[in-house]
Amino acid sequence: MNALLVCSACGGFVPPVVSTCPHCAAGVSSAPVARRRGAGWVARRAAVAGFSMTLMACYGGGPNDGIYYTDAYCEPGPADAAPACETDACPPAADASTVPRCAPQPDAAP
Amino acid sequence: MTTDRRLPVLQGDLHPAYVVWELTLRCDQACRHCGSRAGPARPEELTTAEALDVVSQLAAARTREVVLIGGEAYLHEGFLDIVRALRAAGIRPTLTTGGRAFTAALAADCAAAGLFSVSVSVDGLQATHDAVRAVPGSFDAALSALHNARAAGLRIGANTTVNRANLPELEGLYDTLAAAGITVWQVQITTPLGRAADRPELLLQPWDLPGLEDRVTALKAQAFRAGILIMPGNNLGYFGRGEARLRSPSAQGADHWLGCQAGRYVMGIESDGGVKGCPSLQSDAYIGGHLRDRPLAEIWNESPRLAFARARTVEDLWGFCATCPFAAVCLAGCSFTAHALFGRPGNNPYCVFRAEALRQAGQRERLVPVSSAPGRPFDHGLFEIALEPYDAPDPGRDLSVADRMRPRRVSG
Repeated sequence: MNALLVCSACGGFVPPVVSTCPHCAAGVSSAPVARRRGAGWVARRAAVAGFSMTLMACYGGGPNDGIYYTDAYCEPGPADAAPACETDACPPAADASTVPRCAPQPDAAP
Repeated sequence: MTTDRRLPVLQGDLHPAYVVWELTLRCDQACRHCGSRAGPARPEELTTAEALDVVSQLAAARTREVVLIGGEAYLHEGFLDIVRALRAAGIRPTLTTGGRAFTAALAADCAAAGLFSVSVSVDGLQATHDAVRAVPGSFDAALSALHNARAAGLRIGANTTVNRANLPELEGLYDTLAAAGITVWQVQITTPLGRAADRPELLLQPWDLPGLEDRVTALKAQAFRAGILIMPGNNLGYFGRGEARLRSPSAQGADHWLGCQAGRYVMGIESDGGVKGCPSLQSDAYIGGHLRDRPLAEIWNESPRLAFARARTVEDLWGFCATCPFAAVCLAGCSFTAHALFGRPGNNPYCVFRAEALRQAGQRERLVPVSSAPGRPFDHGLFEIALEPYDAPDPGRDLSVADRMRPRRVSG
């Protein structure tokens, strides 16, 4: 499976086989463009977009693991390293008082 | 055994990780959009003993989570025994319910049996929901079910199938569900399956999809701040500009639709033991075997009807989908939705990107019913696509909820 790119103009996904964005017609450079997520975002995040998926089915309920899916769950690490949760699923926090493995620790600098 | 709902898809290890199991077709409501036309039980539903053996087979198949559905799963005499058995086997048991008889006592029994979570189906604000469910008081019962489940210590969520009756009510419905304490809301679109196929005026038109995506992603951003996750069902999408925001389980995720997972990581079981790749798939075309006749593993591994999505390529696509720039990854979206319209998958007009692309060309696709469904569980009629100017009149826009609930036969 070829990874999708992300258009820097509109943020939509772009198939690697096209030269212009199918959403906004902006030119697409050869290098993948990352979605900004604050300081330390990793450029190759876009190149591995779609690496994992959430199991879903109609008649099912959405994933209800609570804190597992909060924004704080998969914060990236150093700028030159992929987030740990990109390549393996972090186990859910044992309870609401436990900071997920990938999240910044309370006393860490932002 | 993990019960994680996240899956690294490049591993290629196809197995029924997520299973939706119709324990009984017997139901205490008569919803006007019910795909399975639930009401009376099927003639030869699995007994409790047979169901417990299925649990063992699911564990051997490395199933992570089983969603128990119906009809109403709690109407099966062995419901709690099956919940206990799933839990004991290391499989996460969850329940999707209309909630009409989900009392405090039942909620307590479910919690004691090890049920992990409950998703209550809520299909609009009070008047609309009661009209869809065809039971006065159904909305109040659904909210009571949420309350009872939460009080019993169960995780609670809701699920909504969006159509033209409840489309105006999404934001108000979110407020109601958030106030009820849900932590997850699954939103999908009503597909012309079963009783919904009898009511074409209920259905969204393809050009409704981009606006729906915008509204769902806006609600999703709001919901994250409240600690609530909104996720799209598999037939809501695909590859609009908001796809990542729509599909990801976190606010900054980069998930996108990865194709139909029926028979890949998802499986459906009907109450008489029929096995198919996804719970919504049309029984006539997709049941690959029955558990009274063959073991689950054999059906999963050897039935061609379970394998249709495993080797799908762009060569299997037709119409707009065959030449879409996202064809290779999307593969025409949700299989049962496309099949419900045209009698075969591979071309799906319920698509955000497709509707937006046509709008940019000044056009839109209208779904026109040409033949009605015969009247069996998980059946469908047939539709044609009418290409029209984007600003063409839409006489169906302002129909009342009552008008949308009225069945209409179309002779093909």
